[in-house]
Amino acid sequence: MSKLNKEIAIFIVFLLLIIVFWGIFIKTPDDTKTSVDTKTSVDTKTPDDSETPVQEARVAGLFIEFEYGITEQEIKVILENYSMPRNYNIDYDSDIMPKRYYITVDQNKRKDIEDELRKKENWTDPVFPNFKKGNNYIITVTEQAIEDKSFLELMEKNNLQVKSSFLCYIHFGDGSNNWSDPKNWIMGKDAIRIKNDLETNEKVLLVIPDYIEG
Amino acid sequence: MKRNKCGTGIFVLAMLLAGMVFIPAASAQEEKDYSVTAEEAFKHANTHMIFFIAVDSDFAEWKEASIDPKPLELYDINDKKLFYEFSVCKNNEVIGNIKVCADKKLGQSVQSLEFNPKSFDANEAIKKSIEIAKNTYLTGEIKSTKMVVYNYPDVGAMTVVKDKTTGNEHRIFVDAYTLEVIPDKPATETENGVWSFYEDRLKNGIDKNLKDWQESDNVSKFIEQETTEKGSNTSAPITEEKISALSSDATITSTTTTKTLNVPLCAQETSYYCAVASAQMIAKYYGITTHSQSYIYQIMGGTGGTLNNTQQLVYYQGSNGLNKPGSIYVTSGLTFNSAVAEINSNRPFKSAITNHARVCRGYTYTSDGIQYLKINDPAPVGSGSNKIESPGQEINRIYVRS
Repeated sequence: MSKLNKEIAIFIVFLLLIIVFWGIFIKTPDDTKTSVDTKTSVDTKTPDDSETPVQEARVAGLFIEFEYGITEQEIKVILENYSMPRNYNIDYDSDIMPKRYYITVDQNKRKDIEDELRKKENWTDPVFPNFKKGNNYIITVTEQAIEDKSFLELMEKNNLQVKSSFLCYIHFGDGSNNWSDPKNWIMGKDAIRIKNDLETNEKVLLVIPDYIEG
Repeated sequence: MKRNKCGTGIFVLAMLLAGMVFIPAASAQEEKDYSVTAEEAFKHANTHMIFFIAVDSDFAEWKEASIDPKPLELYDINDKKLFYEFSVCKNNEVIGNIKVCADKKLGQSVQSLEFNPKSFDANEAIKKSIEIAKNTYLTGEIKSTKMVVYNYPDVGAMTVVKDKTTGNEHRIFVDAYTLEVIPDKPATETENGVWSFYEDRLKNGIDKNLKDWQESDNVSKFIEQETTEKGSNTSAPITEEKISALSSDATITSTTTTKTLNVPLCAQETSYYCAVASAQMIAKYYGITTHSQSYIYQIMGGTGGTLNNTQQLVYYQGSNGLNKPGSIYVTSGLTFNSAVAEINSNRPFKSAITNHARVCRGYTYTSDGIQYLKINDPAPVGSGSNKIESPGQEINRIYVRS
């Protein structure tokens, strides 16, 4: 064996020794902290064959807010293009929740308009966050605002139009409220996937999963 | 030339070996810094208790109270240590508890402060889970037993047993309050279940959580310093006199904003009445005291089980319910600021975590970034609980509006 190979072999043995010592002396994070006197007996060994369930919500339906002016036929076509894990019924133009009034603002004008709207306390509502849709921003305005003359003047000055969203409710399953039957609800993660997919459609403003509780 | 090729190969191999050594080492070092010791947690529990007594009249009863330095350690179902639960005692009675995160990755150090918690016997739950494990797996070997948060905020005992024949490990969960056996699977409509709070809290990454923990640590240190300057120490019971001194301390009070609405606590009467009891609390706040839980459930259109939010809205909006037609259901924009705005308008709202409805009746925040929501929780069944909780767990709200 040449001198060079001997040196390399010694180097590898040295590295292997480091690995061995590392395994012996390095402790896990839990070991390094002070343990406390608990009121229960504790053994820290972990069950190794169990999968950990994460919190899973169930969703009975979806509220879908569409752009102003959409037709029922257009809604049908949009929904048919998305894969729904359950059969569903559609409640068009639902009155389950009050109408949302909104304006569509160009990205460049967004800050100016928001500043103007904030000048009056009741023109916007903090519980409705503004959100991006394509190159524009959707800003929700209140019913009080659209009845205010100075608000309407501001809209006219900026060539903006107040619209109301078209709310639909998708009810999964047979239309009953029997949530013990799995065909009447979908898993939360599926609802989020559908929401994310649908919200990429230019006609869809918001998708709100209707969670089951109790 | 041949020797050079051989040398290069060996060099690459050596580098790989070095990588094997150093990459895990770096990861281990990174992990190590996130756990919280019981001593640190005790300090945080004390400073936060002092802070709330000084700034929030909800804590008037906690004056002269002290914290038992020996916490109950609560684990996640995946075996990670989640919380140190400290009992708050006064005149030898437990009048509250404080859950402090055992891991900085979980966010603000103090997860919740609870008033008059329903007591449970941890030893009984442990005993029962061991007993069931032994009876179910006759040839099994008990590997561990510990108290866990199996379905936040529900607590129970978890025994891990190894079947000697198959080699498989099984978990037995027993609820701490009811001593009921909880199946080791996600909850369904008809059965309780288990889920990992730890993994849920980390699903959006750890950066914000670590920042939140650091902010709460800064506040804790600040309170400790102020308390020491006033001749006290954070672990001694806080007397009326010392609280007066802290309450008049402009540096504490000027940075804190708090508001509480007078929403009565109603306990849920059955395991699936959380949404109903939440609606009853809000109804009582608005002076409607005649709506029983069974009446509200009927208006919501319950069919013997849980309820969705559309059903809940029927009660909030309907003229035979709360008659608040402007009530709205939201799943986005669940910020602390929007909660503050709603409470400032004197409107309590339904605040839900996954599968469970509660009521938000107030808030406390400091200019340093500490934020807490005041929650009336209809669980546990028959007692309910009143708590101050760090935000970030909600999945929806119903704003109850005219």
